[in-house]
Amino acid sequence: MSEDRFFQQVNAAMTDYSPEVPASVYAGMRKKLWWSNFTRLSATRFNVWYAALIVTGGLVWFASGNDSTSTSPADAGIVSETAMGESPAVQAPVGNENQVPATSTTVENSKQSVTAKNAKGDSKSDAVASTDEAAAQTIQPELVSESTSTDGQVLNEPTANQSESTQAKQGSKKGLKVKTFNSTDKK
Amino acid sequence: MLENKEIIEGCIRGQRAAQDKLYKKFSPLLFGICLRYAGNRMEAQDVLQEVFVKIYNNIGSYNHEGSFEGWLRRIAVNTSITNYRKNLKHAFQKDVDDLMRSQEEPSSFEDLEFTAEEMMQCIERLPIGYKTIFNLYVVEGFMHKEIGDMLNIDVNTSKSQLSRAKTYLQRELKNIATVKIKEHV
Repeated sequence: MSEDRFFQQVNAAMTDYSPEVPASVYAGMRKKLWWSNFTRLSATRFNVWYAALIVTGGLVWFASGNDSTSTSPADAGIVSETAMGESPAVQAPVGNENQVPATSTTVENSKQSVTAKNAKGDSKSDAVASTDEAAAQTIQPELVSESTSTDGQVLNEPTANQSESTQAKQGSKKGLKVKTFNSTDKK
Repeated sequence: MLENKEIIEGCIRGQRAAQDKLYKKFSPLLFGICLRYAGNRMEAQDVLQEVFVKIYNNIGSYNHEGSFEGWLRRIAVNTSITNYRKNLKHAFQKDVDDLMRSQEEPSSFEDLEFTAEEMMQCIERLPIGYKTIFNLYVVEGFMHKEIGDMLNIDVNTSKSQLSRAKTYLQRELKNIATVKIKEHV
């Protein structure tokens, strides 16, 4: 059999060869077609992109809903600081056990020094006072003017002093630079 | 032709009835093509499903210039070749003994006629690489250069694979003919 003849014979037999297709092929094809349409980007019909958008939107909404109802400790701290800055007489709910007792230090207007009331001559208290001196430099102006407004009189109100101490410590910790005023500046 | 046009327009609009008509009309022909290229019937069925998904998704790109059947055939052949490339690592893995035996030139049997089923049986037994080249050259009418480009093989490789496939097929057909003659006698 020559090559051409053989090839022609095969070609004639195979060109229109049409075997019966199993019925299961149609169902499988329909599934594949549905999936293909679902994964294809189309504005006219629901597809995986819309589904992803809905899921993402839902997650964002859920996350933002949780954020608005809960307050972190850091947020609470900032709020209390602001409140203290505006009205030092109000004791802020700062749960800091390591802070220096409020009654131990005061800020004096004229010398801008910190004195220890309860432990005069006590070296430990002096040390505390000296360390608080630097912290006292950073107390917000409103706070200083409030506490020193009585012409050099030392204010020993526990709440105010505690606020000052806390404020000073937090101010120094956060590195806030706040101007302080003394009596000469006022003049 | 008019019927084809209606089917095409219906498919473009996404009408399920039109899609079903297209499937009923052309699925046997396209399944025949898939069978010739696939390694087995299951694989051919998978390829046929992919072919119809491609047809439905891209029927809007048919420009009505060439034959619609030719366009469908082309999609089936291209999908089959893509499938072949996917399974390339399994290609040309026919038993060496079979290949060596197939080198023998069969004796002439020009007067014998074979049915499509008989030929299909023999083609199905070919290694998938030989089968692909044989189909592309003999049935689809591609040149060796085109086949080389399609399958990323050398032209000479295509020629040698075709020669081996032909020899193997002739030998198989001769065996079938021998059985037929014995049955007649």
